[in-house]
Amino acid sequence: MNLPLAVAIAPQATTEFNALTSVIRQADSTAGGELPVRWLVLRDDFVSGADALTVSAWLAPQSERIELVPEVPVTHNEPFHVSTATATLDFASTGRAGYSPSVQTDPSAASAVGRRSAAGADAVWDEAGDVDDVVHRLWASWEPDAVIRDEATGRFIDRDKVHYVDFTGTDSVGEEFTVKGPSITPRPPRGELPVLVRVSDDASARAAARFADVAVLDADAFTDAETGRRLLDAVATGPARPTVLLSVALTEEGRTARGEATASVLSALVDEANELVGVESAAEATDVAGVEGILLDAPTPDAAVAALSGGERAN
Amino acid sequence: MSQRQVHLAAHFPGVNNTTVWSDPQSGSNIDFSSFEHFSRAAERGLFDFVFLAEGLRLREHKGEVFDLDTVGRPETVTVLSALSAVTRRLGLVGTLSATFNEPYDLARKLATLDHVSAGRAGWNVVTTNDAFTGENFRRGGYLDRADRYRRAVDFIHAARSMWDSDAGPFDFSSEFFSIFGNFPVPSSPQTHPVLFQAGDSPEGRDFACANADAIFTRHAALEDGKAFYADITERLARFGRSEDDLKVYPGVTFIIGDTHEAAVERSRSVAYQQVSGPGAIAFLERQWGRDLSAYDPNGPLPDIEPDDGSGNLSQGRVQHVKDPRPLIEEWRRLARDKNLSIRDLVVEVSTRHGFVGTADEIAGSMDEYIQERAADGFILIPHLTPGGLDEFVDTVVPALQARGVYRDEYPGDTLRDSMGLPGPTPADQWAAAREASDQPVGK
Repeated sequence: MNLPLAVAIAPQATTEFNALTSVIRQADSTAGGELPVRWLVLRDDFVSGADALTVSAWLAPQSERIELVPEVPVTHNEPFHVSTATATLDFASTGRAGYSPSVQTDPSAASAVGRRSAAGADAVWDEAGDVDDVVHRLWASWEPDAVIRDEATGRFIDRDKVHYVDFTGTDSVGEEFTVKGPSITPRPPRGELPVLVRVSDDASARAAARFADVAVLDADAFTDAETGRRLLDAVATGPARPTVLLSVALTEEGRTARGEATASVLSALVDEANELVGVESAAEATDVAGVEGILLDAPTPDAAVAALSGGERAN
Repeated sequence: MSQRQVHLAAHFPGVNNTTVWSDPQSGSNIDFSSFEHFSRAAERGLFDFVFLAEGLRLREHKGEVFDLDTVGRPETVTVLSALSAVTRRLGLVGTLSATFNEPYDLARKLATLDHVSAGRAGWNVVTTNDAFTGENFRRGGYLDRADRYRRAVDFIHAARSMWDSDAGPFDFSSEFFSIFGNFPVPSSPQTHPVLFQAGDSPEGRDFACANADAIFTRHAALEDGKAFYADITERLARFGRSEDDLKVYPGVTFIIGDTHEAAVERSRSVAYQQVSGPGAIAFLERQWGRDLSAYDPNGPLPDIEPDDGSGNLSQGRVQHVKDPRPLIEEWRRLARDKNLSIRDLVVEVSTRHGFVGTADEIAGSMDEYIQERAADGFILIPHLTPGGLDEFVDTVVPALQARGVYRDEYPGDTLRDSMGLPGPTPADQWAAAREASDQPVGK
């Protein structure tokens, strides 16, 4: 079956380093099985847990198949560093990296950095779109064949294939920011990394519509048919047309509210969500925005391991 | 044991003309497999650490991206973290700017690295002063030269306060920062990563003595190294510290041969790989401050005078010389006396390799440096990626072991253990020692 499946680890739990090695091993071993996990998302809200991208880089050589999609705090950080770090994760994982911008509206994130004040959801998601834009431009600032090693002329690179980006964006407090480029890191193996956006409100739905490859509809936001329909429509009314996943919370024991995270349980959850918002089937969802897959939100690494090994057994 | 022990570390071949990219054995400077190969070799040789440099903007020359040297590097913390999964004891030291980072974010990343590596993280603290690099960052070139060390001192203090908090509250106010909150990462195995400093000015040396665990120096010659070491030891005392608290590692190049003559010949041939004809012209252009592309690298030195206001011909490099004219005169004299072409001259003045000889000769020289207190260890700078350490590890390391001055196994688990450093000192104690000294470090 072809249910797009992601597993996410809660931000507070990303310091459980040893347990994360079990998650990566377990997730990697689902490849080729009934319910393969495609993406591992380490969540990062910037004010709890470890730096998810740094942890993901450590997991990269310990895995072979799964795509590593850390959340990357973007509101108070430098877009240039976001670009080089994500590109480097793609090199370290030999082409299995993605990233998920995480925005900070919390005053505690602003005061920990001390550069500017907190802003609301609309402003931080608008900024995240500009950050994602320049991050993509920096990845692409080296053409694939920029390194030439031409002994005849003594040139290591063809500088005509390494480009300034000269980007201007607007930050969350309305100030202009600029990035000159080019990147210091050559084009990552994937060229462009897939971008995952968590959709929890109208602002994040608009952001997903603008630049997401994968949009994850938060279970908390999917309170009723009307809200779900509105957010899905918003996600679909943009250039990005992302794959939509529904987030499903796991218990500490790694179970969903409907029992073990088996293929049949998860596809039933997809169908149920689509029925609720008036889409007949997951297949139809590519035309009329609907849910196509699942992201399992694990409170701990142990819960993720339990869910993934339970799924194996039950199928 | 009366003999001081030799320590070794390895600089990943950098974005400069020490790194030879034209050799058939030269591999990728960016693929993770190169970093893995290099680090595994260092660990096989029981090295203290692998060291990564930093450059946050591609270097430019005559207003264009400089294309003659190796170009491109990974993000430092990310690649070190990946390396922690393929090594077990090797320290992982990254050069990271205290100018274009913020304490909270960087302290959190380094604490994460120290956790995933089980206590092997190190941070070479540098300042990045110029507006040229700042163009890649939100705030641009915001910091006056005079403030760069002062912000770095406060940056380190703030970071140490966060590391000391053990997933607790921090509150740090200074001229440069007003930050508070909860630091979300529990104490890492080393509590504080090992801090390095690489500046060489008197203020840079005081900065190291007041803030760092180790110094990366350019003083690679024996007498020069002894003078530097003695100077550092004297400065340390002013901060209530001894030579055991701060390790001195010069960066050194090396060329190994089966015989001394073979090594000398190899050194010469590597030097000409390091300096191509166009590379030699570009080297002179940086000193002359003007276009010299009409000159033949195999011909005599330019007879025209350097441009007066030459500062901006080359961007993104550490500048060591202010007025180029005395140096140019010296080079002209040298070229005349030895009948050197432009390329010969640049080879002569820019590529002198630190240790050239047989494995036994190199081991003997290194031993002498350490016993004479010219250094505590060496950061080897090989000229090839990724195999540039292999021969050294296979031949010089056993020769050092045979002399009884190099270990047979790692002494412990952490980078501090490998370097023989004491445990971490809390932020407040560092601050008190700076206050108690009469040195105006960062003030």
